Amino acid sequence: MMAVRDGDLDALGPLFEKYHKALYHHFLMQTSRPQLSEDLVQEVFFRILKYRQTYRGESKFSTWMYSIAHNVKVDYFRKKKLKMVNIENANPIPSTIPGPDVQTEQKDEADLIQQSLQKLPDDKREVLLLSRFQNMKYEEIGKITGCAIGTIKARVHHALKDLSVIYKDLAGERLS
Amino acid sequence: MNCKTVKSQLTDYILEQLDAKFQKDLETHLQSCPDCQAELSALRKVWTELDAVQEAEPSPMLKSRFYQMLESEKKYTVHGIQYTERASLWDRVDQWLVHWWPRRPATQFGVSAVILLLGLWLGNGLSNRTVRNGEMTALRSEVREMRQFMSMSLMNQPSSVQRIQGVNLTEQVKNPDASLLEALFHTLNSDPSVNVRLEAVDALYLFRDKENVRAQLLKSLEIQNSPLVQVALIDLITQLKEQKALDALKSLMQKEDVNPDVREYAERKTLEMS
Repeated sequence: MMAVRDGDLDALGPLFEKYHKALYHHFLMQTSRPQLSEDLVQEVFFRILKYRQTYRGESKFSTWMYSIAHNVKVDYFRKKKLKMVNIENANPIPSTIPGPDVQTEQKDEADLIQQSLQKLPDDKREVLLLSRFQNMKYEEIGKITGCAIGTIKARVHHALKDLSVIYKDLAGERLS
Repeated sequence: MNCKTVKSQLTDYILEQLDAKFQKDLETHLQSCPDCQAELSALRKVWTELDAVQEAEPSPMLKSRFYQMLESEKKYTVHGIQYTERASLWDRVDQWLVHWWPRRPATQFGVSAVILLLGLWLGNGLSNRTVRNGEMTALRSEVREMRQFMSMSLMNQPSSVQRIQGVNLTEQVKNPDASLLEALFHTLNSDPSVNVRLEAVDALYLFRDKENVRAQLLKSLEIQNSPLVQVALIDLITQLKEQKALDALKSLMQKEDVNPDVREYAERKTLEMS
């Protein structure tokens, strides 16, 4: 990223290749809308280019990128005055894996946990996703969201606890 | 360690973020507490279930759009300065300034302070110069007016010495106005003292470049009756080197009452001029 900052824009290509799928997944888990998630990824990399001079190398590139992603998401929904979609209103996320019968059960579990995630409040879902899928420490998540470590620690814990309850309820509803 | 403490730390336990001693105490509690065990089991289950979430693939369009954007950005980036397609001239100037403007706040403060001091110094200098120039112009004007006033006052005095001083004072006036020239010609044509009139001729010599002064000098030659003043005027007129001066000399020579010495002097000058 230091090379990008100093004018070698081609150096952003490998960074895009390395991170764009994880970033897309991160947005998709929060919005349930594939096209919107792609737009948000594009916006993140646009801002990386636009504000490349502000990158000082004090934190990892991924931390800086996810903090931009956090701001992009907040700005987008503030501008559009949209609330994060709940599962009732969201279009189902198209599965990228073909659905042979042997995978039906696995797919059901994936749908169930995704639906449970959508039920979480936005702030809890975001920190849980960063911790679970990006393997980030509390300190790093704190830098991204602008919150204290103690707040992040409590938020991740409550997110997991709430998710457990929601998941249990949804699984119970399916069986009944 | 009680259940409340243990339950609040279960996520950290799953994430393996507890220190060794705390973790050991927590595990000791868990072995003897079915309630905490059940909660840990539920949390661990949902944590594991998250593995089931498939990482979805974005469409190829995302990659295509990114590289288009990158190419566009490269096109408008020259020498490390970023220009965008929509950037106006003002934006470009703005971006250029951003490129040169120091990033460190302390340096920004220093540069701003230097610019401010430079501005104050230059502004003060210009202001002083303007004031000085304005004051000097006003002062010069006042001196000129004062000299003119003094000259005209002195030329009206009964004493010929004072009138001579008044005439001499006009030589220090660089751009005499019409009233001063009128006073000088009045002295030249009607002052009772020949000496004063001769001083007036010398004074008017300095202003011979003025058209109206030259015309008045020629007229004065016609009406002068003092040979000394006539000779002084002939000397002055011959320096004008113009046809009208020659005509005035010829006119003087034809006068019947003119002094013979003056006529002879005028003839000699006429020959020199022609």
